[in-house]
Amino acid sequence: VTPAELLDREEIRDLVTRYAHAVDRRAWEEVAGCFAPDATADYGYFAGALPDVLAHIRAGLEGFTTTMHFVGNHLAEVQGDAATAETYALCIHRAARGGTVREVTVALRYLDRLARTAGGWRIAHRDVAVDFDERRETPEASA
Amino acid sequence: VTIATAIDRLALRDLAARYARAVDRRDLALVRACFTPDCRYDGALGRGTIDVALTALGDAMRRYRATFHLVATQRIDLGADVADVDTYGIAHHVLPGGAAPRHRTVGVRYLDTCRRTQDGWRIAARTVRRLWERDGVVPLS
Repeated sequence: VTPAELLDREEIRDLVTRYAHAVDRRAWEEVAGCFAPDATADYGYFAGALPDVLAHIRAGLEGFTTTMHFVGNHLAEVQGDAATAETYALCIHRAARGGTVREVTVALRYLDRLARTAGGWRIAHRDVAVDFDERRETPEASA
Repeated sequence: VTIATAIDRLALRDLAARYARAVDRRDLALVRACFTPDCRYDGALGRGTIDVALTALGDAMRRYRATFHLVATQRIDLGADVADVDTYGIAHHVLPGGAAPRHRTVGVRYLDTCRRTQDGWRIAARTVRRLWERDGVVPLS
């Protein structure tokens, strides 16, 4: 690893982490800013170009009271102005309604192709590989 | 932190993630590539050389529908060509079980001595401690 690669790795990790942070804060402009304008994504049950992907993410997450995209393992390989990255995330989605909490936990990996742009690294294509998910309903904890 | 130190620390962080990726992909050759050939191992997969652990791992992998080794908190004490690396992880194991697969979650700590080799950093000794475990079911969606 060269010093230049080290900086690229750091930027790419920051980008992927910023995405996870931004979706939980529902900062949709920041979420959009993580992608190249012509980016595409494939979630398995859904695939498309960036505008559709963003609408899909937003509609999906706004149905929950809170979400937590907990990011762990991150590996990336940089080749010039392109890179690939694999990032583990345990995503917990909770929706409280009528005294019960619906909780959906999804263990997934973001498989990204990234591109170096004038504004820095951006996600050019994202595949989402779900390793397992878990759904449960529990009584809402009293405060 | 010097650039050289940062590069070594990144390589050691990658090593923990590469191990997790290899196990979750069920790729024993990739798992083996994370260790020195003479690596000592002491943990849930047995005690002795890395070969003992890899044999047990190959058997264990076949039992699961999926595994997800999420690694996070890591302490790296870096020497010249040797490093002590302490990594916390939560390992999810999904076992087949018809309509309601079982889900075993294990809090784990990998205590590694890593060595710089000609092929990069490798794990030269590993002790695995289970901190907690929990069993549940995965209601199918």
